[in-house]
Amino acid sequence: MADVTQILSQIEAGDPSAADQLLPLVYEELRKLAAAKLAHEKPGQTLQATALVHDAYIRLVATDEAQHWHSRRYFFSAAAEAMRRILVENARQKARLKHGGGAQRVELDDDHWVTSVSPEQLMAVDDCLIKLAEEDPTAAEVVKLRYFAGMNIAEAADSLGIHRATAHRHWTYARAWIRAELLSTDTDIK
Amino acid sequence: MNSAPSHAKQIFLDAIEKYTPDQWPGYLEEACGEDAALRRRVEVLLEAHRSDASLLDEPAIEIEATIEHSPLAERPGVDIGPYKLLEQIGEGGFGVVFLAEQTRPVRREVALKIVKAGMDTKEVIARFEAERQALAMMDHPNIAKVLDAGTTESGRPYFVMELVHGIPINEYCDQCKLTTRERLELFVLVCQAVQHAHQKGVIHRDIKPSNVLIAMQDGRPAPKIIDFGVAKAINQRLTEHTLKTRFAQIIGTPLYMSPEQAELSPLGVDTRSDIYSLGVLLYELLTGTTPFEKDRLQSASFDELRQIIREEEPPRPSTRISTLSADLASTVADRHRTDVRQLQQTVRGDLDWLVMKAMEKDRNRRYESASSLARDVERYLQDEPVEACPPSAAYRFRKYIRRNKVVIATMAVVATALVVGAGVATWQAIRATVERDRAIAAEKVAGTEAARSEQVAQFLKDMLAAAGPSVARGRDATLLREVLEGTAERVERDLADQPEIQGDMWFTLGSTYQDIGYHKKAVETFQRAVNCFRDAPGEPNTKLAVALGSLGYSQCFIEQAAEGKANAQAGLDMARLVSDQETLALCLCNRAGSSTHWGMGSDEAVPFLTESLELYREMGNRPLDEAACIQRLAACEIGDDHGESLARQAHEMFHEHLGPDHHKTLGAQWVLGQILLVQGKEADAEPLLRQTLVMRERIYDKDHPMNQVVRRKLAACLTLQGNRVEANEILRGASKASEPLEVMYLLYYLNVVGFLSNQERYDEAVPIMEEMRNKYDEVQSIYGSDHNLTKEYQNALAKLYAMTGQPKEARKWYDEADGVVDKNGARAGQTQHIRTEVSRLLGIENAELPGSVKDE
Repeated sequence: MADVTQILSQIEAGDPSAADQLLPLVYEELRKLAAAKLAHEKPGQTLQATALVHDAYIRLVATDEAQHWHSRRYFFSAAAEAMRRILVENARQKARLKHGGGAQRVELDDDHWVTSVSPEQLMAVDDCLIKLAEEDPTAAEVVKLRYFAGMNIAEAADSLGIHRATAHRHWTYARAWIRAELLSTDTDIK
Repeated sequence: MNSAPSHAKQIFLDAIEKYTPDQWPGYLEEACGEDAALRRRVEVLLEAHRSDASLLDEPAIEIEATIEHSPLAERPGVDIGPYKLLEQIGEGGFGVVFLAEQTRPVRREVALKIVKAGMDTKEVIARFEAERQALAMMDHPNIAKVLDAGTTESGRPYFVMELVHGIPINEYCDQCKLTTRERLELFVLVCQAVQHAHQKGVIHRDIKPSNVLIAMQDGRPAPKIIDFGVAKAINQRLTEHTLKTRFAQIIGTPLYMSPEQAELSPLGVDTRSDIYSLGVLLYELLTGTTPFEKDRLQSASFDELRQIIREEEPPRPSTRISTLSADLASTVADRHRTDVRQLQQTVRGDLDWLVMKAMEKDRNRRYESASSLARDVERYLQDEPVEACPPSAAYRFRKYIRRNKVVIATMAVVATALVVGAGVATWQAIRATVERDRAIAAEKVAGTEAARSEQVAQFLKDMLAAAGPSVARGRDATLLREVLEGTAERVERDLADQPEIQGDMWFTLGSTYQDIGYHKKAVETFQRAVNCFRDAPGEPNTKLAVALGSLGYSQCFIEQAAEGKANAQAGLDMARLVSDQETLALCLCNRAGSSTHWGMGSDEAVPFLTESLELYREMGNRPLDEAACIQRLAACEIGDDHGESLARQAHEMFHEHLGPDHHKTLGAQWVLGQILLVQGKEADAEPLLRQTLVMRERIYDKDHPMNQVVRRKLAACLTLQGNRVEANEILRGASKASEPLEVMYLLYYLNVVGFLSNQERYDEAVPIMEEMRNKYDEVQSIYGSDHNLTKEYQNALAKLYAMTGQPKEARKWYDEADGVVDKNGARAGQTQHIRTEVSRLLGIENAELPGSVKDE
């Protein structure tokens, strides 16, 4: 198995294909971590995405070798994407269960995820996000880091290597954009 | 073109940032001009922006607010007070460390640690100030000084420390592939430094590898402990909050945290918390891993984490090594410049106990100071016996009970239920025979009954053996005995009409008593087993043979030597009639045992043991039984080198199969120690006897009768080397519960006299003799003049006088001691033996005396 630190250093060295290897590893680690945490947590308690992501970072990356800014950035971006996928899959599954489709419960663990919105809302947000990414990838990335990986603006800015004020502007715009989109499709948003 | 999204975004953001909502229509008019679509788009966005929908405001799965952790405003180039930050050199659990230059009053490089957000700066600084004086008192080459503390402009606390160019101790050891010995030598320095701080009243509270750096000093690696006083200042306590928000980076790792630190209640932390952390550090240096797995602690919930730290007994270092994956284990061994087997062997035993003592959950049981820990490591390095040893059975058993109250209670119930169950089942089977065809059923019952009773007896035995981790090895006095006695009561009451099953139960109980060295109880119980088997109809069987033998063997421990021998002989005779090797070997051993006293042998025992050993060898694959025979043979030949080599052989066999701290290994070591002592190799014997005593007092009760014997032998050993002071200490340290101190001394004198005369060291006998003479009245007043001990004492005095050329005086004591030796009394053999010796010394012909036990 390729080692995450090694992949990061390949990215550092300018190997564009390396980034593709990162996501599956991070994805797996996050799922594992979350499962482990959920197994120990009382029902009803919540996970913090940011804690999870930092955990994954500490576990996967030899931090002393990878103190560099750029490599971290790739990692967090991959982690945000991984978190997005996990949560969306989870939401899909829950929605399916709710509507009686797919009676099999595949991943019991996922039932414990406590999200701040309903599965439908989460999926709707994700659809919007995909559209936004086509139009404004940086703004979409900020949303991913903030909404799915639980980062605050400062952290997201650091991860993206942009100024905090810039990150804030992206965020303001993206939030309005997605809300507008949802309003126009008449999705119930509280 | 104008309605391009980027354009809409720009206008939208400008509207928000530069204009108030009521100015928006005017601004949009201006910005969008004729482009109605663009204007509509921006209006929608602004409307969405102003809507009170909370969507997206909260992260998808985050509900609790996180502590704001904005990046540090302090960067290289920035001045903080008189310090100029040069570069970031580290990032720790609670802050960032910079290399900084101090400009005034002196110019020097320092390390400056800035605590991250989430702390009450004022409190931190106040706590630091409170300890500043104590910190200033610390002056030790292996402690990095904390020079200053203050508040940055952004309101964060910072600490200024002596700059150390070093790497964490564990990394250093691994990188340089230090051997275990070299690691221990470094560790001693660490302990000594911690001791210095403790003497100045400073507790570290956060000892871990990253706070113990190794730097080169004069070309040699030297530890430098950093962050003294810092942990206290930032009051790093484990709470649910800190655990959950540990990525706010307040708390470091709980891996090195002592149980009392893991407590939520503000249980005082004292120097012993540092001892615990030192223990964990040593654990890691030895095994390459921490006692609890990092992953496990990281994924544990708060309560679970605390429970692990407070209650869970970590595996011993050597056990930990054996559970590492093969790859990892060989990497670790390689870093110690050795192989896995060797490493495990090095760590097993002393180092195990040393680490475990430092890491005791109960701080009262840890080393009382860092220097006593250091001293014990040094003792290990110098091949001296260490202070640390396995926790006593009683202690471990108590802990086990605390954790398993229900299990223990159930055990007693199950034991009795089983006993009853066996009876009931048989009884029902017998009833069945009445109702059905007697002939067929009777046979069936006989078969089932035998099988069942054996099963139950075996189960009972297993259960008793498994009662607790201690019982398997150590034996607990009180609880196990309670269970045994409870079971005995039920056996007596409920199985009265089932003699054979009852006999099995008695035998099992008796064996357990014998095993834990409670021979009096064992004799009582074996006697009942014998009665049952004897009353039972049918052929004289193997059970009766073995029960008689066991009875005889235990009798020899409670001064019923003659009877014991007779019983063991009867058992052996019976065993010879049945053709069962196992039974015969066992009975031979018992017979041999009945000719010995306290496990020390006699010529008489040799043929039995030799035959038994042959049988076990024939049976094959019986290393423990073989070792037991060899050990007993060694005890029969204590006077010569052959005995010594046998004892060493037995010791090695037990050591190999059972490890160093098993009671059987200890037993062999004890025999070896005594042999060396008899041979006049006191210096070689001393460490063995010392270790035996320490281990025994941990594993058995302090007042176990055998421990008194070990104490006396050790005291004698010290006396022979001229160390009366410590010999007296050892004697006085004996438990007064099983025999009074006078008796302890009396028997000790007899030991010393025996050794001195064996080696013809008459000059040294004089002072001993005077002492004995002075204490004679005491002895007589305790025992009266007819007691074997009094006689033995008188004869010993006679012997001493004879040896030191005072035949008249000798004769006086010899005559005084005249009379019949109570052949069933205490020390009959020894009394007779010394009597004969004195007769020979005094040239008295025909020393054969009435009541001689010699030919029994």
